[in-house]
Amino acid sequence: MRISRRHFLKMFMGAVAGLSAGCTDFEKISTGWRSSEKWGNPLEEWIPSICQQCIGGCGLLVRVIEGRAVKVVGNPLHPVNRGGICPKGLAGIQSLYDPDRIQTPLKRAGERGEGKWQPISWEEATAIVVERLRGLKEKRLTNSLVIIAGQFQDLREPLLHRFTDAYGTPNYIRNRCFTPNEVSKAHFLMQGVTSPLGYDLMNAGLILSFGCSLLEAWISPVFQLRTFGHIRQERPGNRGRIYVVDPRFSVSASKADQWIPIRPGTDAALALGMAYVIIQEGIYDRKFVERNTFGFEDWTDGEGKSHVGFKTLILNEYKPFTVSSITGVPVEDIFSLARAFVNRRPAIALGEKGLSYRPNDIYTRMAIHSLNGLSGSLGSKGCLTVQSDVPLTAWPGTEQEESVRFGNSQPRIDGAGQGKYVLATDAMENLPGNILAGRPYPVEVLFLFHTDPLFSHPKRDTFIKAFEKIPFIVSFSPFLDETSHHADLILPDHTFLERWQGSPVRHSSGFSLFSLGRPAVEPVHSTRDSADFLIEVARRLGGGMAKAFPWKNSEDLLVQTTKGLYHSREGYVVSLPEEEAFRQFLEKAGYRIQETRSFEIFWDSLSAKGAWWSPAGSSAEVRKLIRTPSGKFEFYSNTLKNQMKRAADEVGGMERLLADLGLRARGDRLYLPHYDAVEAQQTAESIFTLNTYRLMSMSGVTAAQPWLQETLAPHVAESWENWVEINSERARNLGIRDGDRVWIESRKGKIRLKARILPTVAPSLVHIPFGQGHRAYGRWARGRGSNPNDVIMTLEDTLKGFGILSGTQVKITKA
Amino acid sequence: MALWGMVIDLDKCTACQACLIACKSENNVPFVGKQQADRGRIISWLEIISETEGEYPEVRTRFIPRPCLHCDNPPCVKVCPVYATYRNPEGIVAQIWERCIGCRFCMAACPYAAKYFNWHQYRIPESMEKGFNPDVYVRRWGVVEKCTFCSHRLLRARDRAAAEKREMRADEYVPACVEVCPSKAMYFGDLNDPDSVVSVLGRSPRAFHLLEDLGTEPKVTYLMEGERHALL
Amino acid sequence: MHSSRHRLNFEEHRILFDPIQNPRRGISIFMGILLAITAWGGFCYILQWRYGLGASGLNQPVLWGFYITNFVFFIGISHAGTLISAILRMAKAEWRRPITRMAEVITVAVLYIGAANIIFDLGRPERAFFLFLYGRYQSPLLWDASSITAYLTASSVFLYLPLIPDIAILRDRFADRKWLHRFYQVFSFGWDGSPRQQKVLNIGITIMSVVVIPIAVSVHTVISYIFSMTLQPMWHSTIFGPYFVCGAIFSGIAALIVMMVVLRKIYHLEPYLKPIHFNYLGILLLVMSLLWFYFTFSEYLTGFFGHEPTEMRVFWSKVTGTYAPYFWTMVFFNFVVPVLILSFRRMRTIGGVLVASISVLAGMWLERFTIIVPTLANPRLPFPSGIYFPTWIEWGLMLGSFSFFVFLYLLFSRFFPIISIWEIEEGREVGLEEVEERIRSYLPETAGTFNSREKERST
Repeated sequence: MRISRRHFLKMFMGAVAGLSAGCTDFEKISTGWRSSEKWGNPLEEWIPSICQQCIGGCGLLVRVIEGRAVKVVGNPLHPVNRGGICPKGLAGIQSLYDPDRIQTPLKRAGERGEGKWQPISWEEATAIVVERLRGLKEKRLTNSLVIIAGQFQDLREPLLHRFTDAYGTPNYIRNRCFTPNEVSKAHFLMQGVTSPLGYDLMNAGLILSFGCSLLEAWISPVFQLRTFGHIRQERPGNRGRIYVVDPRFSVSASKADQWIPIRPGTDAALALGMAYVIIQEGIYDRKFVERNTFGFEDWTDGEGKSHVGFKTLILNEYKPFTVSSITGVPVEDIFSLARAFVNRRPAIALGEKGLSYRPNDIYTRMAIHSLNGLSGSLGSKGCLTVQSDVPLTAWPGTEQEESVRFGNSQPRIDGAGQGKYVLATDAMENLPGNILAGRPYPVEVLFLFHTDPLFSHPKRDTFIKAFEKIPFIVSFSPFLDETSHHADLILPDHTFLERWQGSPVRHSSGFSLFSLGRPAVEPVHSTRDSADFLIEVARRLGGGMAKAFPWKNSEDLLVQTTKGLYHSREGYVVSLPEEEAFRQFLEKAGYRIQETRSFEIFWDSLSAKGAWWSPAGSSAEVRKLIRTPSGKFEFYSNTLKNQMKRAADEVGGMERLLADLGLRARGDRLYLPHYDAVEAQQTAESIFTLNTYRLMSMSGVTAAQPWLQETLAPHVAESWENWVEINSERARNLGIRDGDRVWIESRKGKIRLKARILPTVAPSLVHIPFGQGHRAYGRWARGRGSNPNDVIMTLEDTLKGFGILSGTQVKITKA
Repeated sequence: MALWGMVIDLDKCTACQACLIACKSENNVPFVGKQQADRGRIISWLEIISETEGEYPEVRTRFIPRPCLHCDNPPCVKVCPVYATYRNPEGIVAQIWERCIGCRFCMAACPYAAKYFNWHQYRIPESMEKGFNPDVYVRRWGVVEKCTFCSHRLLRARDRAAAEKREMRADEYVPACVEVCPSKAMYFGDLNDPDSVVSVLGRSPRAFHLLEDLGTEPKVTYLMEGERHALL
Repeated sequence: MHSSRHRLNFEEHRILFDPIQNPRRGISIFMGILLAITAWGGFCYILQWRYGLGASGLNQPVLWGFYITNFVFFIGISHAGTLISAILRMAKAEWRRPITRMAEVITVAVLYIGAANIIFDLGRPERAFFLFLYGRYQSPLLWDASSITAYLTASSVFLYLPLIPDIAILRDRFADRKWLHRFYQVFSFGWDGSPRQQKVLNIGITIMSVVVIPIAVSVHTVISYIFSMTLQPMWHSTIFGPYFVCGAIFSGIAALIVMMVVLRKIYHLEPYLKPIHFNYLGILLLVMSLLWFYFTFSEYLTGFFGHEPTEMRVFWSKVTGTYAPYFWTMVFFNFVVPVLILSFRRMRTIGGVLVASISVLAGMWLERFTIIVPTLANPRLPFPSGIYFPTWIEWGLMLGSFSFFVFLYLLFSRFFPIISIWEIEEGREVGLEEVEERIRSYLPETAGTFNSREKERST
């Protein structure tokens, strides 16, 4: 064989290439776009969407290049975030392209929880579900369908509700610690309002937060962050003040003008101590209190029975020295806080979605809210306000057959709204026990939407047992999370970047807003929009069901629903701030611009810009804010009194009810804001009170996003796992050093975490952030740190039907 | 010629870390995984530095977002042996990834620790590569990388202006971190224009630079937190 | 002088030819082991090449560790040779004769390894040639590259020049061994020992002695500049140049002593390396130890007294913090041990000097480490400070470096006499007279001596 020169060279080069490939990875190394030949100048599109990483409801713009979503930014026109966006929103793209997404419908192949799945077609999956539901219907057991839904803001919320309603079950149960589209109980009891109030924080002179993580995970995080920037430096000469009352030195506390560390669970005492100073010094808003409040002074009812007023109660029981010894807040701070609250009006005291440390903390929220009453922080600029309704087209009424009405009339499986759960709209705490006991009836079918109770609920073990009792569980999760592992059928939903979204957003301020999101990219896998699925199932079930869901799909649903916006002759599709300023100027002068001539144009404009809003509702008159029977702001809540009476009748007597609720107050105090003593805590070298909190980076769903896993929190440089924060001195006494592993043990169980020794932690507390410790949920989330729910003792805030996530006594030992 | 600079108002900053993730998403910055993260190898062109003083209950924490400060007198550029990092005429301190030999001298020289090293070839699952920004090169193993003030956006903006046959306006170019800041704490613009927002804010009495005494002349200016109100 | 070749008694220097003529089995096995360890180091490097520098324990703040420490350490040791031998030659210290060659070999061998350690530290070693393509002269790293290259060249020449006559001797001795003879013939450069050649050689050696000293000083000064040219706390110091040079000579002498003791033992060089040599080197080591302490003291006191906060963070991390064990061990090894041993004539025995030298070698390695790592671990801004643990890959490469150095050294001794034969001879023939002459020239011409000479002349 003759080897030519060229041949030889080739062989030589081949050998070299082989050798070099052996020791480097030249082939594999060239990644992604480098190896792609699609350089040039690709077309880019910006598609509006809505962020579903938390309930904040921010408008997004997705940068799409050749069908790929490559970046998410805030929609600059969107009134909630105005182009801003938080880390969670930015990481949404990693959820879309997560390698561990469920790609097709899955049917359980092995035992429950074994993890064996058989991919099936959507047709087959739909047929299975329809058959099940039809079967229940025939047996008049429609009420044994339970839907658990998680925390989200979307038209899916009313859609799901409608599904249960039209099918004939009262069991639409929400698993969430915060319901954005529901009014705060304190507001309901003291003002009688039934839809959520807004806070005009943008114009507030002072914000006093009782444990609300204003800058981390409050109602609409980005809106709050924007507000923060605004009141700090965008109102020349009027730099807003922020005071934070919180046992933990949160990011909000560190950015506040002052942090007021408080003994956990004693916020009510502090608020009432402040009320004492305000009343004692006579600096409350006399005009407002006299004209618009009820129960301030002592009063006599129609039957001639005299009642204690708020003023008397406060002046007798909440002297600053007493309060100081309860709360641990220095007396002078109580005075100065109270004076600042009045002097810096408009001032807002925030207690909604704050920390909850104790059962029946409704009285704490009422105590906090009473400060707003005293300073007259209602209905004017910089105060509490109503959030106006969004004028959407009403959905067609449902004509219910007898069987459906029968189903709907059954008691709820979780007992919410009945007996001791009188104020609760959902009682997730009660659910697993009732399912286990088959009380009041067995559950046949369970749908899980956007929720993962086996991860997010402290009663994990009970839930697992309860699920064993349910013959058929359907999960709609796009990911194989803990709960989906125990399902029989998984019908993977689109992620939010792949689907149509419409959301009448609750965002903590007053204006009304409707956001619209278009699918940014084609579905990556064979997943299906759950809304489309529900519409399809309803259609196949036929009858009243089909009539209740007259839409072709979710896009059609949105088109039909937003017609109301077009015809309402108020509000407009968002546009640049300059345009809006001009428009508002014209409106003040009495002109209104009809900008679109047809609904089609309106729709195009809405789906191109992403939101419709009506800024008119940012401040409201007082009478719109007060809907109580007395027509006044009630320090003495008649609403609460009526509700308690009803509940007492249901359980058989007031004493029984109060015992069930564990309330110690009696008489008039039951309906007045008051502070109920906290049980003395154990004191031992290694015993701490556990406080849990939420990070800006971690909502329930973001643990599977590597970017967020690597930047968990700004105050500790931790990544990929959670940690426990311990006070420096106590850690020293226990021989624990920064970074050591420790056991956190409660009577329920124990978890192992990394200890972070911080000088900011109160000696009696330890803090653990939520969001980590998944046992499933894909490669990025599984096995990262430990879940604090494993040690949280399930104390119940009965009145609200939700578990209390802080306050468990734990023992810390070095691991 | 423009001189690009940034202003960060610490009184508005909430330490939310959006800037940081925006940067990672824009610049195809890899996540390194738990094992590497534990070894201190996270790459994050922009970091939130936090500093806590005092003991409970008298404590104070300050948060400072730190991108590359694009010093006018950059210590990193001085020490690079191969021209892999340089200050361009518009003030951007840039890094040529394919030139870098990975000696990490620039990292040792940077007093702000604003440079990062690719200790490995970081691989991410193929499905996630779809989310890469096609405008930005994916760095490979063994090279130093850093914040570029999203200079690819400058190029894009300039191209667009050129295509439309006009001058580029300064506000057409904004880095990803500034773009997304929820509390609008970050400003970006031309320092050579005395009326630009960065120039105006830079003259504020609250303005300061990080480690000013080192004479690195950073082009990122910070505005101090406003007066801390005692309770009155 | 011319006659020296003829009068050379091979038998007298038999010991020096032994390693070449009758290599000992034990040493060959030992070299084999060294080669195996080196191969292990090579394997570690291949792994690092595959996985990237991440295979080391380096991380974000501590981005330089073992490799740079070794680099500085090895380059420091390289000062043993050339600088010491050049200085001793210039100073006409006659006791240098059996030492110079050993010293010079250390230099050349160790420089390669020092340079290799820089390559180990590169993220992209295959781009190292960019230094020549796109070199940027403002960077101290390029100053380094230049001066190390210059030093390597100069010291190779400086090793080679005095080697020529000895190679010629070997060429003659191994006339019967074909390949070895050819090998020596090539490298002996046609040396015949003529007076002209001898003269040229001597001029060459003298020139190189002069040239090599500033280059050697520059090398370590420039290495210190890598650190002192940055703004980092406890690096940015004017004293670093001389401090590093001092440390380099210090560790160089120690390395030389250790090598001498070892070779003396295994090659039975007792007739050549006498206690007096060790005594003198011991005194030199003692002087350097004191000088080193003086520099260290000044450096740390200045930092401490100024009390600049960032400076103090690094200072405390060394003095009482994480790096305190390393720091105080360094002080103990570099100052306490050598000063205690070497201050007393009675303890300046070969054993004593050896112990002091080993201690200094360990101490100087730690010194390099405590200069590099604590500063990086405590950055100026309040980042979480870094922790650095070297991985087994780094240990492997370090072991490989050391064993390759010893291997190279032994390899040299297999082919060339480790003691300069002709210089010894020269010492006998010319040195003695010269020294007497020289000493006489130092002294006043007294009447007595004059008289006695006159007397001699008259008889």
